[in-house]
Amino acid sequence: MIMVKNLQFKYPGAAERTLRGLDFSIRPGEIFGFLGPSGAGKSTTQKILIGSLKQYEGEVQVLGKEIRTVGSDYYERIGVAFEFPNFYQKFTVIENLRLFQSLYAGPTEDPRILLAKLGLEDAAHQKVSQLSKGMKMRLNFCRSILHRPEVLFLDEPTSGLDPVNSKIMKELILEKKSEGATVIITTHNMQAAEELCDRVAFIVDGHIKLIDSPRDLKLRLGVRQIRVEYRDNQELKAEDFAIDGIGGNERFLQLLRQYPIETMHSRETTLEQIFIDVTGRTLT
Amino acid sequence: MKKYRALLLGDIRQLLTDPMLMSSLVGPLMLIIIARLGFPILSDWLVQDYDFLLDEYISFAAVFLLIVIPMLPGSMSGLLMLDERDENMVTYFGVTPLARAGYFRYRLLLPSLLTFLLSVLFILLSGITEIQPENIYTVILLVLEAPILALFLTAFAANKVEGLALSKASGLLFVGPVTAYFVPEPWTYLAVWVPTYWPAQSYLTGIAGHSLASVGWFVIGLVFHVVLLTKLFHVFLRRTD
Repeated sequence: MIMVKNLQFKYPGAAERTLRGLDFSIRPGEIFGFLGPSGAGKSTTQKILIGSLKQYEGEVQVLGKEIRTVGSDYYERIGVAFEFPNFYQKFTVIENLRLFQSLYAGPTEDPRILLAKLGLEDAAHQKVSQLSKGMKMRLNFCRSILHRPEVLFLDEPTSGLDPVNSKIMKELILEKKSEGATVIITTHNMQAAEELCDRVAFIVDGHIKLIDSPRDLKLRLGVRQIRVEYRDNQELKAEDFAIDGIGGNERFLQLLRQYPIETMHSRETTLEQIFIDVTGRTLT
Repeated sequence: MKKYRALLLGDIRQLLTDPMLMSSLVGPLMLIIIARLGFPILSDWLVQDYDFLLDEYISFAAVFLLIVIPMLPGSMSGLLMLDERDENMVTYFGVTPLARAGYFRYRLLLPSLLTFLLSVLFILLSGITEIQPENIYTVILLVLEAPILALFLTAFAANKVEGLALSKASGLLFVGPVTAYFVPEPWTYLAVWVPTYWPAQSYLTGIAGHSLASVGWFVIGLVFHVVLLTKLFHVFLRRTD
């Protein structure tokens, strides 16, 4: 679906390359996440994949075509939702969707049905300027799938959303995947990436440091232990135990019987911790 | 065509809700009516009460009003582009089948087309213009001035408020026809840097029967307009990216 070989890119006038030789491929129907701190090159990579920057070096093929050579018909097949929803503020939701719908020659969804699916049917005749951030993000997503794209590019899809809206957005993305779309997400929200992505790529300083599935990473790099915090007289103490065979661990059972337990947690690692371990960088 | 029709419908919707934008269409039509009905009345009154022959200045009045025509759709398009840039719409259009090129084509050709229609209507209906072959030159230069003004606003204004202020400053463009008509040689040439000077000269020399001079003003004016248009387009692109 997407195949990238030795991708390099330098902005005009910049002293150094923003991308320094990326190699990756994305399979059809996959949700693939680019993770990295601001300025790492993930947005530049996305801009190249959506055909906005064409002066790159290396090979970039999407849907079987070299991006450098694609014309405007490429946009019939891909959908893009930028981080900040850009709409005609004075137009209503439905007016905006109808306008963008008319830009496509191919088959499109009925905007009303899509709005209903996204819980925005009541807002159809509201002006976009009156919508909340969460509604605008859903509308943004709605527009990106209007023309039934095969590949969907989402930039920070859960950015600034409250937990409820964030959950709705994740479900919508998973639904597109189940319909067969390939989804590429750019984010620095590790939790969202962990929940959504089949595979993630860590980008730092224009390099990909690692590509793998979040689950495999956590299994491989996590610690299978339980940490017990307990009170011994007035002192707070902590001890770690291997999860395997914990039911027969005498010391563990003795702690439970003998001391008041304050907390007890498994020590599985998070994607964020793996990112810090692998790249030596934080995401902020 | 479906794409452009959608954009046009969007523009009509904006026009209907924004009196300022509406005036860019109604304005030129008003000019035609004012010239057609108002000029003779004013002329009669000035002759009777002040013994002043306004008819002697009829060609000045014609060219003065003609150069207003591209200003209105030009600034309308410029203000819409500023809005669209503020809202990052240009970036989004860039990832639809319209593409950035399609967007620019629409935003720059629409004011040209409106200027063409409205200036031809003005020449045919205002009653104060001379019907002469040289009018073709004048119309072509006016048609180029509309996108020049649109790009001028977007190239030098950071937002719509600044754009409005700049569109008021475009009143300076009246220097073109005033200088072409009233200022004698060689001082008149000081105004060659004002775009409106060229269509004014082309029209006025045409009326004076200097066909060759009219062609000269047109050809050099055309080069000047095309260069200006290209330069402004590049400044605009730099500010949009």
